[in-house]
Amino acid sequence: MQSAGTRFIVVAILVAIAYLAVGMLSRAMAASDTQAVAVWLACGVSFGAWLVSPPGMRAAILAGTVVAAAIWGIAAHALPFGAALAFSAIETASIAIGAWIASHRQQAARPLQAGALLVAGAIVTSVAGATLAVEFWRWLQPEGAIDLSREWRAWAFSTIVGILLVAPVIVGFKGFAVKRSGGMPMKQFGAGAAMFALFLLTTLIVFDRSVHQRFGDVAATLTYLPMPFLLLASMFWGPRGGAVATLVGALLIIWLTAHGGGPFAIREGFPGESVVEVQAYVWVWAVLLLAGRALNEARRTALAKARDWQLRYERTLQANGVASVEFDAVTGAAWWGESAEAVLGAEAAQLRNIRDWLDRVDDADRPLAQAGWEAVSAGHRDMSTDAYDIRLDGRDLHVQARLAPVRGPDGAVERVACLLRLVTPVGAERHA
Amino acid sequence: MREPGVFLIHGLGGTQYDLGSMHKRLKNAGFVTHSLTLPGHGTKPEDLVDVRAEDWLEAVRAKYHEIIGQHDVLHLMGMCMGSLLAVETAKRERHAKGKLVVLAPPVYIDGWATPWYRGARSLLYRVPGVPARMKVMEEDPYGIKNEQLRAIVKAKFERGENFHYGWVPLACIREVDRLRAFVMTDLDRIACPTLVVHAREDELTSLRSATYLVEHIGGRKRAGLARMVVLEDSYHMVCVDNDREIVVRNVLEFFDVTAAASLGMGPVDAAMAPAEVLALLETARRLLESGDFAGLYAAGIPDFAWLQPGANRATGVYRGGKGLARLKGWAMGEPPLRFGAFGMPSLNAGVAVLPATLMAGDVLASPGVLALAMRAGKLLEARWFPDDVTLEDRFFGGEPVPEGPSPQEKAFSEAAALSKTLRQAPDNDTLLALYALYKQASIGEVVGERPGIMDVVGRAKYDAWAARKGMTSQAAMQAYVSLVQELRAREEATVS
Repeated sequence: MQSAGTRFIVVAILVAIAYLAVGMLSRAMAASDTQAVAVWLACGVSFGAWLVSPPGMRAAILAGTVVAAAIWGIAAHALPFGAALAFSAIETASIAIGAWIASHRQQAARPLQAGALLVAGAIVTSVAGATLAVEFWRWLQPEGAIDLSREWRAWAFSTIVGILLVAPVIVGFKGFAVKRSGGMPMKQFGAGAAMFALFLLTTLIVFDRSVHQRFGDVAATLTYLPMPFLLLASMFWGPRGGAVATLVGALLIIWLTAHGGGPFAIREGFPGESVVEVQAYVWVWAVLLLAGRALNEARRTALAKARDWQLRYERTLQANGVASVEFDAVTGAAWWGESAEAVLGAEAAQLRNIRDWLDRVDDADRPLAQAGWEAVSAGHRDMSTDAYDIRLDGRDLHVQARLAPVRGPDGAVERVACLLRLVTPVGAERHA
Repeated sequence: MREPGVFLIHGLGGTQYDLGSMHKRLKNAGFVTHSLTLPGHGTKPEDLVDVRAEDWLEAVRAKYHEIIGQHDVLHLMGMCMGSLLAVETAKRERHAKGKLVVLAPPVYIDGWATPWYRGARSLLYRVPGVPARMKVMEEDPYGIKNEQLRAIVKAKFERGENFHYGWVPLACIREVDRLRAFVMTDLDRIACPTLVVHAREDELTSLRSATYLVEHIGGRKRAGLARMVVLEDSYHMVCVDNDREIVVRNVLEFFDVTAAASLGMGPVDAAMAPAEVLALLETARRLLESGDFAGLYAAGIPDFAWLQPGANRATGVYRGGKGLARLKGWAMGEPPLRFGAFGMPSLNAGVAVLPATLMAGDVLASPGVLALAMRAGKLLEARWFPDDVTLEDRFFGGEPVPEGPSPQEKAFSEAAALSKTLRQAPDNDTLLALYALYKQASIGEVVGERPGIMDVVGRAKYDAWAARKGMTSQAAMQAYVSLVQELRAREEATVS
């Protein structure tokens, strides 16, 4: 067992290493002409790590981020030590604020709510970081050699895109376990892979350097062609695979654009315009895919919850030897609960009308059973309880029937809810 | 002759729970069952890390040698990985003292719910430390198609019950892969008849596994040595899922527990201990010996049926109380019929086959066999199979009597049908009168205990019936018919 101190150091080191490694990947994808970084993935690492960690580990994540950001400031931006520390403080503080918002009430959050919180947190991190960074640059170079608005835009856009691409991957893989069965089956994976392959193919065509020569003015309209395939791949692969697909797809588009390919790089009104355009493009799609996955997850959760509830209800009835059925008060049409077959047999669950049920009631009891039904369905009584013999599946059963009216807004009986309890199969003592 | 035995082997990470009620059902059918807990099982998953496939095989081999001498017939049966062990043991030991049952064998791990990255495991085996540390989880659907059952199993996992490991180390999957490789070779060395049971929708291993075994054990010149049963409504855990009864039935039939089936009676789960089955059989034998058919019916369920073969006046199915009344017409005449010269019974779960002779004084002695089906302490039905049915045709004579009601019974039935068409519900007193008369006519005197004061309706019905005490069935029928006709007439008068 690791001590708390050791665990703190291990987590901080791991976060720092991941931050620097992913930072270098971001740097490698900088625009070839302006060297503008279109996506800052490193902050997504710290942001995502915060979201999946218990509160006790968050200090370690921040510590790792501070160290890594300071190293990055010195190595990549050639900042002096003090300035690098200030840089790392801005980076870390903005991540902490945004991640705190994104993780706020996360345990109780529904998938859509969690997605919305993630987007909100990413916005706060990027805006806060960009604003503080601009003030930092202003303080560092008071003579104004830097275009501060461009710096603000570069920091904010690259940060938000980085968070929205990386954090969902980290969150998605929380609790991942290798499974013997029950994981994503090969067919589903294959369908997602086919969609992803189509996405890659169309992306390589649309974001190729020769797209303008090949497609002329139509090139700009092809921008959205690959994205439906990425959306489908994301849906097939679920939250984990979908997040990875989004990350890989977005990085591919950013990298191709940064190297002069695709519709965004055809004409530039100002230096680095293509980077801004691709950032907006990726941001929109990242949010859309996040929402799509959240909707999918919300639907799956709702279905599982509903089924769980239904199974529990039917199990309770079945364990007590009770079947439920609802009759239309006017037509007598019957809707049986799932436990009916287990409690009363297959024939009962196939009866489509109250008349079919009454026809099977023992002749001695039938007039009483009929009278009970008529009294309740006509609204003359609020409850009818009777016990009688009924023949189902060739067996004589003794059941206790309890009927109650379900009234509409005008007070008229619309449905008759019925609970049928199997008292006992009719025994020898009843048929001497 | 010693009792036949069955050696059952559980699956990976499992216990005998994997085999559902198979032990119990085999015991009920007269088998002695043997089982073992495989190395690394029954404790905690970490204990599986250092277990090798050879350890499992050795444990099974040791148990096999321990019990093989105790039985003239010993069948081998395994579930999931246990089935691979059973196959390999049958192969290595040249098992010929019984049969082999292979349930859901994972010869290929390619079921529909196996994750897409399953092929990467052979790479991970080579990474130092990973096989021992990586956990391979048991997840939904847990091999179970029945959702209610799945929810129960899920809850057992959540409670941490030790009926099945929640995970196994990757190292253990590597050993299963090695075992699969052993199994896939030299299958033609298996000499015993083999039954492979596999679910079409098995989420862990596809039907390809079963096909592979059947083709390699019973292929070409060995055709017929292996056969397959495909289940249509189960996942991997075939002994506990929806088709568990089909599995049990096929296994029992494969083990030649077919005496009942040969007499046209399907297998019956006695739901009784063997001693209770014997006690009930003895009661039936005693009653038949004294010709007490009423007693025999009393020992049966309400719908107990006597099936009398042939083409004579006694031929027919005599079901329930009415059946007994008709049966008495020919069985309790002069001389009365009785059974004697009983032989040794043969028991198969809930069916007993009893050699006997039907006798009528000195006039008739017809040898044959009686098949008695029983369940939960009651007789379900009895079938008589005379060796020479023409002997009884001559004795009883006449033609089979068509079943049907008397004119009065017919009128009673018609009145009952007519009562269903009444458009207006009669008042409560009339409803109770209808109920009481019907019961008195069809059953007789009131039976059972009077319901308590909380059951107002039940108590009123009971009292109404009890008030007709002493009334004959015929009189009650007549009164019932009259009352229904009166209600009908009153209704028609109201309408007109």
